Amino acid sequence: MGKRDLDSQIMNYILSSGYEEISFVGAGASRPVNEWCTEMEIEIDNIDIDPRVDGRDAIFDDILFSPLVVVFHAEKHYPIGKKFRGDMILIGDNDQHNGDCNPIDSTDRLIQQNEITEIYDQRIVDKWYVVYGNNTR
Amino acid sequence: MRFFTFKWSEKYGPEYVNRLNRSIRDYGSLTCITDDPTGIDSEIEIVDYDTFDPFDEPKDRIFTREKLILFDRYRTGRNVWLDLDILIHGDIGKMIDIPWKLDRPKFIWNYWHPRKRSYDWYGKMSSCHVNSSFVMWDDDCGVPIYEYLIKHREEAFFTYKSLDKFLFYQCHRKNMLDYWNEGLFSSYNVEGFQRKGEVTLFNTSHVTKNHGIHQPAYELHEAPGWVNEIWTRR
Repeated sequence: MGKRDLDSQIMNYILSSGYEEISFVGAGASRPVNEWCTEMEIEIDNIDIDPRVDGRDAIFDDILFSPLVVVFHAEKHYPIGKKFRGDMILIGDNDQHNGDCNPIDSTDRLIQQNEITEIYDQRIVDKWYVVYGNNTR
Repeated sequence: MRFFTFKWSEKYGPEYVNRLNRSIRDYGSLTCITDDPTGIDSEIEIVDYDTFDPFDEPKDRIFTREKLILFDRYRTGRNVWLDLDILIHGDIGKMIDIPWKLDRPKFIWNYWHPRKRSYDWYGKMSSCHVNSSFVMWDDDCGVPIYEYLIKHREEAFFTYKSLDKFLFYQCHRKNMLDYWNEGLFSSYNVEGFQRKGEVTLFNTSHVTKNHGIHQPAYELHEAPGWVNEIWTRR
């Protein structure tokens, strides 16, 4: 189990969602899921504060998100569910690195802080807590 | 020119304020925002610290955010805020006496940190290149930074432990900060305890907050040799 397994799970969610435009938050530039989406002609808006990727901040900048948002490092920022309403895939860990302001120690934490009201799936993949759901209703 | 400094809790004694004042009084007057004026020289203006933090947030979130209140309250003339734990040992006149108006406040860029490290790790938000120990501003040019914090108050306090990180990860990338030229400032504990530049900083947080770093780090009043010689003469 590892990051590639996590990306496989994310890709399964994306394919099942049917969305053709997706916002990635904090994915960096070179994850397998980026390449797989490109191959599947799924359009990605890759939002990442790293200036080598994009330089936009999903929390502090005014961003028009796609209908599905995938958050790859929920532990590093304010809950996206307080800024966006819709379908989202949330991933976070509890490594508690120096820059982590929001350690994620359960799927319940992701659900609660992102105000998820409909859970499509939740699971733990290796060290990552993963929730796929919606906070609109 | 008006200088400001903050002194709260008991980490630094009044001698820090008095010695800082003696370092800058040829250039202007010092105002100290403090919770305890005991022992501070009478020529230093005192402002009650309790009037200076409107944020009902834990102190360890955006630590030293009180500095940004200065941008809001002091909107005329040339102003400088200084941390207490700096040693002015060179000519700051050439730094602060510049004949044009600043359009953005001048902060310290941590030239002693490898730039590559901060940018390679920018997305991890673990490193920081901005230092707010010696900041100069003209008129209301700092107000946009203060207003940015007010606008993003909830998100900012959630995200950042220190003011410097808030500045680096938000205000720097939005080009809201100007910087002092390279060579004016040095870091005593990072740069091998050397005497360099005009002003030396004594930050110890890189040692105290990183469990993997085991190296000596001195506060200003503990530093031996040339530092002690200059500081105790003040």
